[in-house]
Amino acid sequence: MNLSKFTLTNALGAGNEATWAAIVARRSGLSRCAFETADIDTFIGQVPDAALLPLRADLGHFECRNNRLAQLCLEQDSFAETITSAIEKYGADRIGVFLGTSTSGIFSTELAYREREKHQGALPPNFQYAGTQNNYSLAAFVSAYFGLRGPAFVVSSACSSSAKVFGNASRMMAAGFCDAAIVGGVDSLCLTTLYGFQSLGLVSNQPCRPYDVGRSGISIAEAAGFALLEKSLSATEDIQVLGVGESSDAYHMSSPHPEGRGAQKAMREALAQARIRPEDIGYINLHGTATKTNDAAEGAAVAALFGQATPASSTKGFTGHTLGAAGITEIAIAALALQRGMIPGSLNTQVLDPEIVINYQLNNAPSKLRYVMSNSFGFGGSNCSVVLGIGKDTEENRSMENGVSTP
Amino acid sequence: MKSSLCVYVESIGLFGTGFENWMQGGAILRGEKSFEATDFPLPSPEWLPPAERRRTSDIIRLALCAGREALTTANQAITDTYTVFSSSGGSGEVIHQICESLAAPERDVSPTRFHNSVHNAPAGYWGIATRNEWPSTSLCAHDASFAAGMLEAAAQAARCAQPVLLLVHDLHYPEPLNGVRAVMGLFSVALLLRSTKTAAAKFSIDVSIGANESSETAMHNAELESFRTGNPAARCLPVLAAMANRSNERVILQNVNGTHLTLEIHSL
Repeated sequence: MNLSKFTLTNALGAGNEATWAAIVARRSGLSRCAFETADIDTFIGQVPDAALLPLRADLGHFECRNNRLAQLCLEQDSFAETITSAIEKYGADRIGVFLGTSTSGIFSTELAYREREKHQGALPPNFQYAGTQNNYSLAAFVSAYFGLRGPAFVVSSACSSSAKVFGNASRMMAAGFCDAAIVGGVDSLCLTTLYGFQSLGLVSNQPCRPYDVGRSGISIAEAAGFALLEKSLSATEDIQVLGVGESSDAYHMSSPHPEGRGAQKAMREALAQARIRPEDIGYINLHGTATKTNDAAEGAAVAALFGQATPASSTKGFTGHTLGAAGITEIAIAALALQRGMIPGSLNTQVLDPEIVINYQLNNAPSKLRYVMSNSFGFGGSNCSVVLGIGKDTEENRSMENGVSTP
Repeated sequence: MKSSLCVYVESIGLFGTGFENWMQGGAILRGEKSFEATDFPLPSPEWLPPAERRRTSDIIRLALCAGREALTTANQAITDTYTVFSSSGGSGEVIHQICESLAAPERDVSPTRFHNSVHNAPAGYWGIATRNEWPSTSLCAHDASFAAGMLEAAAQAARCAQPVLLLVHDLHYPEPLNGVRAVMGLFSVALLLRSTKTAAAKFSIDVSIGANESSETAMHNAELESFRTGNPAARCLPVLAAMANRSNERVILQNVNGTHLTLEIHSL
C-alpha cells in the first residue's frame, strides 16, 4: 500500500512540520499536568485548549474534545484537500475509514457525571452518547466530515489501535471492499486514563525517560494522526506500507510477556510480509513507554531479533504516550525519518538500562534510510509492528519469500 | 467494482437473553420453542486461571461463553484461530463505575476496573484463556458492530490459512447510561469462519457491501424483532434464523455511512 499522505498533531504542535522541528530542536512537548481538575503529580503532553476549536456547524452532534482534536488534525498539511481529490478519483463509496482510539469522547461522559445532581441522577439532556463516548464516534465524525459512504469502523485495542488499522485497511482493500482508506487515530486527555494509569502505578512524576535505567513510568498525552492509503502503484516515490504484523501476548491484561514473545511475533510477521531481513531495517521506532516492564520486554524482543545492530529509539520523550493515537503518531514519525533521512534520538533518556542490550539512540543522527519499523503494544497483550519503505526500488530490493505466517 | 467474499461457517456459539446456547436458540429461531426474555446467569469462565477469572466483568464473561461454545462444538479442537471481537459499547458497567469514581472527591479508580475498561478486554482475557497468540482485533461501529465484525472477519479469513472466530456481544447499561443509550438485555454470538470449504463447513455466507436501497431483514416474531433492534449484537438474529432453519436466504444488515451488508446464506 502507498502511504500517499499523512499528518499529525500533538503536544509538539499542529502538522508534521511542528513535530519534526521539535524533534530536530530536541524540544519536548511535555509539561507539568494542569489538565482540567486533575490533581496528579505527573507530566503530560497536551494540545492547548485554545487550539481545539468548535466543530464545523453541521457536525455539532459530534462535539467533544476528541473530535475537536480530530478536526484540528484533518485541517493540517492539506490533508483534507488530498481527501477531496481522492473522492473525485475513487468515489465517496470506495474510500474506507478505519481509525483507532482507546477512550474516544469519554471525557464528555466524565463531565456529564458531575451534572447528575441537577438532573435527578440522569445525565444532562444535551449529552450525546453516540457522537462522543461511543468508540465509533471518531470514524463517524471523519466519515461525515468528508461525506464518505464506504466501509468504516473503529479499532479499539488500547495502545496498538491506530497501528492495527493499517492491517484492517490492507485487508479491506485486498478484499475489494474499498480502493483507498483513511487510517489513523485520535486519543485525547481525560481523567479516566490519568487516574486509571495512576492507579496501576504506571505514571511517572517526571517527563518520561524511555529505556533509562531509572525510568519510572509514562507521560500521558493526546494526539491525532491520519494517513491516506492507496493500492501500490508502480514507479512511485511515495512511502509504502510493506508489512503489518499483529499478534497477541495471551499472557496478562496489563503487563507484557517478560521476554516480549508477542512483540517478537509481531515484528517477525511484519518483516515476513515486507519480505525483508532484520538487517534491512535502518531504524526502529520503539513503543518505549518508559515503564519498567514495557521497555524491558520490548528490549528483549528487539535484542532477540535484531541483536545490537539496528538503531532504535522511542520518541515518547517528545510526544508523551498518546495511547490509542501512539500507533499513527509513531508511524508518521518513522515516515518523516525516512523522508528526511534522520534517526530521532531519544529525549530525556540519560543513563541507558544496562540490562537492555540494543542499539538505542540518544542523539539525532543523519542516516539514509530505506526501511523502518514502528512498534505499538497495548493492554490485553495486543501487539502491532509496521514496516515502511521508501523509494522506487523498494519492490526489487526485497529478497525474502513472503512466507505464510507462523506463531 | 462490486466485491463479495465467501466464508464457511463451521460452528456457532450463542448466549443471551432467552438464549442458553446454539441448540436451544436454534429451536427458538425455528419456532419450535417460544422466546422468553429471561436472563440466564452468566457462566463463570472456569477455563481462565483463578486470578483472571475473579477480575472478569460482565461483558468479558458474556463474550467468552459464546466463544467457548463455538470452539467446543467445532469438529476439531481449534485454538489457533484469528479472532475478531466487535461490540457497540463494551462494558457500560465498568465505564459507569469509573465515571462515578471520577465524579466523587476521592477519584479512587480501581486498577482492575481501569484495565477492564479497554474495549479489547474480552480479547485480552480470551487470549489468556485459550493461550492463543494469533492476531486479534476489537472493533466498534455503534449499531452496525455486527456488520463491521462480519466484514472484517471475512476479509481476515481471505488472508489467512486458519479459521477466524468472530465474537460479537452487547449488554444493557446501568443508569444513568441506560438513559442515553438503551441496550436491551444481553446477547453474544460467536461464529467460527473459514475461507475454504472443509468437511466441517455447515453453511456458506457470501458477504458484499451495497448502497442502502433495500430495508434490512427483520424477524417475523415481534418479540425477537424488538430484541433484534434493541441490542446491537442481536442484529445478527436473521442470520442465525436462516442457519437454524437451514434455509437459503439473503439477509440485509444495516451498515454505517448509509450502506448495507448483504449476506447470501446457503446451507451445505
